[in-house]
Amino acid sequence: MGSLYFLIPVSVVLVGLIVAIFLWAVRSGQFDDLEGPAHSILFEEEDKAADKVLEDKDKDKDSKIQ
Amino acid sequence: MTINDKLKNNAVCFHCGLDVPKGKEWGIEFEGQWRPMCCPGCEAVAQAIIDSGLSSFYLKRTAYSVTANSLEDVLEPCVTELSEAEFEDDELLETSLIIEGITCSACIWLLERQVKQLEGVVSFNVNYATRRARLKSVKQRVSVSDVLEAIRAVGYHAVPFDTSKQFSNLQKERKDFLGRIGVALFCGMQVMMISLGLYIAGPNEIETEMLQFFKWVSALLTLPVVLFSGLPFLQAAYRDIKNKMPGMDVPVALGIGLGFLASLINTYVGRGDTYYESVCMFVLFLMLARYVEFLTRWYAISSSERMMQAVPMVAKRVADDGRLETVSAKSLQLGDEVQINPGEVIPADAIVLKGCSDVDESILTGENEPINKASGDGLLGGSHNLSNTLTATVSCVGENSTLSTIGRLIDQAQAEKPAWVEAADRFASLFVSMVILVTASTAIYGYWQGDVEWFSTALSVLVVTCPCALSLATPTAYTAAMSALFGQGIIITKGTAMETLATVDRVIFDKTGTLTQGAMTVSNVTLFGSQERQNIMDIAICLESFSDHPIARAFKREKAKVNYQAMNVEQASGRGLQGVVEGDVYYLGSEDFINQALGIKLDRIDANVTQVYLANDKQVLASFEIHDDIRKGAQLSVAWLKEQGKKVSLLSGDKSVPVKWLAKQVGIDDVTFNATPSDKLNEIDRLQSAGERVVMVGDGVNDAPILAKADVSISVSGASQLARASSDVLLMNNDMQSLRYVFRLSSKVSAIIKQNMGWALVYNIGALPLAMAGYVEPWQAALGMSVSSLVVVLNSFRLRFVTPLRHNLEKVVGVRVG
Repeated sequence: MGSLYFLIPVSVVLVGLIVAIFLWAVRSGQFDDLEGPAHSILFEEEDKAADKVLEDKDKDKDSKIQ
Repeated sequence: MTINDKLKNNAVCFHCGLDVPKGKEWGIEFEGQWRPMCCPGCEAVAQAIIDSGLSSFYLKRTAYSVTANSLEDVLEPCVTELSEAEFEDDELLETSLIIEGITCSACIWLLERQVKQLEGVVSFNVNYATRRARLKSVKQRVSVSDVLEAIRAVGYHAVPFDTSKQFSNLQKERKDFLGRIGVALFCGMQVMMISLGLYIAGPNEIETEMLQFFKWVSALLTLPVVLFSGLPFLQAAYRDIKNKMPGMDVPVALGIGLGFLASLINTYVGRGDTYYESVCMFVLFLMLARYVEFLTRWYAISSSERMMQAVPMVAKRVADDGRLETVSAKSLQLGDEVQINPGEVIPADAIVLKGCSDVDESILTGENEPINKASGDGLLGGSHNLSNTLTATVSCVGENSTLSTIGRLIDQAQAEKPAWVEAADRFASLFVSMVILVTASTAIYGYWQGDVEWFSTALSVLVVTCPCALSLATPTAYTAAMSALFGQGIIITKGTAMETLATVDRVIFDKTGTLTQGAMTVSNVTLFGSQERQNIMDIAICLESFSDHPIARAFKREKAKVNYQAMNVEQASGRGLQGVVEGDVYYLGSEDFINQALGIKLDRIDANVTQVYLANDKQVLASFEIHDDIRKGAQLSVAWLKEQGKKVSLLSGDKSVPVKWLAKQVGIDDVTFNATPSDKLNEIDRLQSAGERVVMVGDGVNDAPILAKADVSISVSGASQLARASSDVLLMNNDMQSLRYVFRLSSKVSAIIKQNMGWALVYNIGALPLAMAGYVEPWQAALGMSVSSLVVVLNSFRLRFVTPLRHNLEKVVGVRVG
């Protein structure tokens, strides 16, 4: 039973951590759009051609910004 | 993606899914196949999408896109007054946009690709849930209007919006809720875990030292639940007490506060009971209920298209030197000269100086036939200029303008509304005061009698009588019903509307935009004689120009090639016309009319469509199929409402003939026509003072005051923002049938609320004497309270399983299915 004196404080610390992470996630907008990202996974890699155009653009952009 | 199967069907537009008009040749070549389109607007949009290398949008999407309004709309560069950027870096510019027309998640993909292809755009993210986008762009490399134009080219409509407004407040509130619920959930779970051990263990099985340790840990974990998650209740209770108007929050706050304090004291003293787990559960339960309620409100407010406003943001003012300058509509002054191009919205009440054009005032007056305006005529701000360019002087700005007047009417009506809401508040504060009084007297009596357990008894009384179940009885039923309805595309903005709806006596419909959608059209022409189609059409158009009948409007929309002059035209009371064109007698009208005129018997081709026949004195020449514009499910809903014993009325600002015709089509007997907005308001007033409870179903700006005034107001899809703002129920899908579901669920809701109330009262009243006598330990009281709340919540949850009854045709006999 003595081990409870150690384990329960550990669980309290863990809860504190979980709460902190949860609050951070809420505030940083992780829960703002719960639908879109689920769909966007499916779309990302289907069209290689369009991706390529985009990548080129990105590179273009990067080089121009720098 | 079932949509791709449908695409093989060549009768619908590849882009938006509308019917393709016969004999038109719009369309594009896509994946080696010809894809027909319904209008040049859709064609241009589809072309733009494919040209941008984004054609796989059509493979990904799961819903049709929104119809592009017109070609001009797509191609015309957009003039939008840009709000100031919210965030400025040296190089980067951040802007928020509201995007309208998003129908499925592939739209997000398309939009993001399209915009990211622009030079100078650093990032562009669309939020699918809220239809909002954040744009980050490099200053001077790309302007926001370029981005708006790119969005427009692929068929969406975007406007910049100011994040300091309502929406960001709601977003903040939502985050706040989530945070509080999360804390209550995680900490509550830990407290519960410890408590469970205490429950399971027998008396004296845990050594005192360990017990104390458990209690102190529980206290530590409950602290954030009370002080952070429960803060809104404590604040609301404090506010209530300060205003001397105790609401349900006061006993809730007292229960939380006293329960926690008593537990702390008992923990410190080292004997007596603790109620940490009850407190946590209590907070979590109530927070969840409020969050669900908040969510429905949030969805209602952030539903798309809400930014469609009647008055445009910009106006074209004619400067002194004759040049045109674009100014914001708000800055217009009395006497300013403005130019209004065809297709534009009139920026303010004005008087025409030059030009002559058709103006659509339906948004303000409900009159759906364009009105011809020439110099000297008045224009209403917010109405639509259709055909020619007009120059006008502003005659009225600010407070006295037509739109502001309607806005004032709404405020007035809303101010009069909540008499019974006040009654409910008074009842609640009475109940709450009683609870506190009973608790206090129990405590004083016990203390005075020298009862050592006085505090524990008083706390039991407070917890037992705490109207938790009672206060959950109504909101949980509302929220369960709201979320069930939300899944069916119905949004409830005021929960109480559900209860009122079950008791209404009369349902009033508006005509234009509510029972009808847009305009009637001639959808098909079948020729029987040897004459050419265009010639037949010209004769029909010329005859119908004499008629006021709604079907005639379908013909007036068609373009005549040769303008014939009809002579000796006679009308047969809404059934048909006869007249002499080019020396021959023609008959145009319904089947009966033709049968009578020619003395023959026609074979009806299809009984389900409205048909009009053209005949000369020898034979039938053609039949016209009229595509009626009655909203889907309207007839069935009206028949069903009548069957339920509700009175149904039609209240319209339109003329007598079309209103009566429509009333006959959908089966409404009580008809009022030519009603101005204030007439409508008076009519509702009259009915309400006669003791009737009235539901108003409407859509337009002109309906808004009535919507606000009626006991329950319902706005249909496509309704104006003003109408939505003053509605209790929003039907988001096109089908009127959802009205039936709302009514069915509302009667279930009031039944469930009665059961909940009954149970809560029986429990509260039954447990009170026991608690006062000291037979109930606080933990038993807390358990009883939680169980009674749980019963209420589960009972309410049954509402989620009420399924919408679909077309029950056998039951409503004799109704034509349109």
